[in-house]
Amino acid sequence: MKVSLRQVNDGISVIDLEGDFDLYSSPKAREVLLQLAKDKVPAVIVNLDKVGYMDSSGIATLIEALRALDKHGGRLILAGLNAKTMEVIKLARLEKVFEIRDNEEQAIASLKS
Amino acid sequence: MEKVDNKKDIEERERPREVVEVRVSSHPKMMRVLRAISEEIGSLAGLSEEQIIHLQIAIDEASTNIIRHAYKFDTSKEFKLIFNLLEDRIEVVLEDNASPFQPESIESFDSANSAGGGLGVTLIHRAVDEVDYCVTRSGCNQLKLVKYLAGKEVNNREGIVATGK
Repeated sequence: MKVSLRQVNDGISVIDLEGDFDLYSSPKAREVLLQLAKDKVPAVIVNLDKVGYMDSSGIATLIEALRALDKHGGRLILAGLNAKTMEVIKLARLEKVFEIRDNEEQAIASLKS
Repeated sequence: MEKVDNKKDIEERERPREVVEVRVSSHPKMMRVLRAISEEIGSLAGLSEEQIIHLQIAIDEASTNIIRHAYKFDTSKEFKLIFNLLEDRIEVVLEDNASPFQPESIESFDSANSAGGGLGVTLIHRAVDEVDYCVTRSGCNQLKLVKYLAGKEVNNREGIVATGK
């Protein structure tokens, strides 16, 4: 899985993930997410637009990042989920635990509102 | 006479139309391959699109547990999957040679408070209609996942009739 990080305006960090977010690849994303929490960034958008599949390792990574960011009042928003990734979130009954937006633009808008 | 016919019907229903056996190494990179196989076989079995996603999730999580917990990331091991395609359902049997595990030792996943432990097993139970674990006579761990075709009636062990989810 490819993991890239970029900054958008007002201190919002966007992590773009590409490929499958699973047991094999989740350590890469975990490292980046936990570093952002350590740096106490105010908001992180995880762009899952190019993620074909996410398993429980991916979800556990996102839960860990959510908890780590929450410690300093930081926010984590998931954007661009497809039918498969959304189904895993629903089966885990986490759709109310995570902030979920259709795409990056909506995620940025909700952080600004 | 009727009883004989019923017995024949049952035998016919319980005879798999297709059996597919897959043996894979216990390397995490094989998960992508297994997901692709699960999707194709789920489609061949006649599952709906949503059911195929659920089957993929259950097989993926069960395989992940074998790699992570049973074999502890020892990539030199292998495990086997047997797909039995029946008239009203698909059964997937996963078999590994690791030490037997205690299903009751798995922590339960709490979506509000958990850090993710126990999530894989929770997903498996929510994604398929039946889950059975046993140790075979030869000492292998065997996990059976059953997914009924949408609309087919399910008579589960408690005698409750439902439809495949």
